[in-house]
Amino acid sequence: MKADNHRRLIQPLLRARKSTGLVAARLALVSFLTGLVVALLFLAPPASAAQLLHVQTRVAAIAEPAGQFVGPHSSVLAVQGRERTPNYDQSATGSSVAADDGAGALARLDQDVGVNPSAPDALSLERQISLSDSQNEFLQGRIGDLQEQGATDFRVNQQQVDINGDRVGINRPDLQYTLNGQRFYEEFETGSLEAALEHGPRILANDPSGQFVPWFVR
Amino acid sequence: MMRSLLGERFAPITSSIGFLEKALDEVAQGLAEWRRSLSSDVNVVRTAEGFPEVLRRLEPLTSGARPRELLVAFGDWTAYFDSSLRGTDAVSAIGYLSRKLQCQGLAIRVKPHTIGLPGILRGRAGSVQFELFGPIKTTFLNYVRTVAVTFDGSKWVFNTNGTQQAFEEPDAYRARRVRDRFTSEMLERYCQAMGLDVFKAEAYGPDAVFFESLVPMPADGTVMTLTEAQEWLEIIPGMVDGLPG
Repeated sequence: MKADNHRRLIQPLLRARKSTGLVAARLALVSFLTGLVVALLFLAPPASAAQLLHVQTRVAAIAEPAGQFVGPHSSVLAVQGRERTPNYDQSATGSSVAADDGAGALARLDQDVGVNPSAPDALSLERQISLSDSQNEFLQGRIGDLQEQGATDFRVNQQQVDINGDRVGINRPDLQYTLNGQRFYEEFETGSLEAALEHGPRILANDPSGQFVPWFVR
Repeated sequence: MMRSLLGERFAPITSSIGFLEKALDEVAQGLAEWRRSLSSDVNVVRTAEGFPEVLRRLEPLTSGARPRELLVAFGDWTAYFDSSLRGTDAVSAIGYLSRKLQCQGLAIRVKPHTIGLPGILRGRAGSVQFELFGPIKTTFLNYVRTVAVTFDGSKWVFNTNGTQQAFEEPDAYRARRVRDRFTSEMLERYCQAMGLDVFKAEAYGPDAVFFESLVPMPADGTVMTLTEAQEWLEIIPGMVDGLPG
């Protein structure tokens, strides 16, 4: 199919060289280049999560796929699009990712499939998620802001629980909560956004209706 | 033996309760402002139909959203309940409202451990939690003090955070059995030291303010009556009185 397209696109140029002079050839060249641009636009594969997130992630970015920079003075939060509160004192990059409903979705791990759905209660949100002060401080600001937005059912560094309160995996997202009828799972990494994104496939395999929000915290 | 409010007759609603050190009307005004900033349709009804019957207003119980909330007069304080299917989510509301209203807040949770009991299929993971909030920022949000014992699915976990309060019984925190380090009786004494008799039903009401907000409901959420929720969660009213914790 690509060869046919190529032949079709180059025909005007070949005809021009055979039968007409330089002007006609130039016109044909312009025609060819225009066709090439159009072909690239229509034949190029659409932007996809696989390209963005590399091989092992297989999730579809639904908003801010390249990540939204949230610096100390930014006024809009990733995902919610709401004004941030001043308690964010860390730079961070975040994006929102939802499950890919295609065939590329990651299968659940055996240890997650076998988990007892009866979940323990939420532990104190003061639980640390890492030894990094910046991660813990960012988490704190995030919880405060989400509480104000009306989020509920928070869990910090506890096994994954879905919107109905059922345990769906033994993995421990840094932050889980429910907001506007949607379950969210967030991961905070200081290395890179890609490192945070790597948590997404397992989380979304355990809860395909959930939303995954990776953060790069500096 | 485990202490509870009304022997879990209204659990899971009463498995967790929030308290704010403000009069009912002040809290109602603050909660109404907050809810109206988040929802286009908020209905507020003041009632004096009496406690605990007023808790029925929270039905049906829902997962993934809390469209109904209830404030109940509690002396100089105000108690908070919501319609969450797994029990009131006091921490989310009290944590924020104590900052907004510039007052002290408390979230407690008491849940018996019924996993493995005869006749119980799945059971509930036990928990006794005391979380005290203040009006100003601390080392973590506005958390002042947390003392909790919770079964995390495989083992009992005891944790304390924040500033130890004068009324605490720290010797118990060194108990050999983890679940003995903080019991519902200790929690009751801690609350009494703050002037809150949290397991005394007569201390609640009769004045109350009921809130109903138009909120997005999850497509795969669960909706149940209190009776259905008790059957589903295997809550047997009165059973808690004979259980340890």
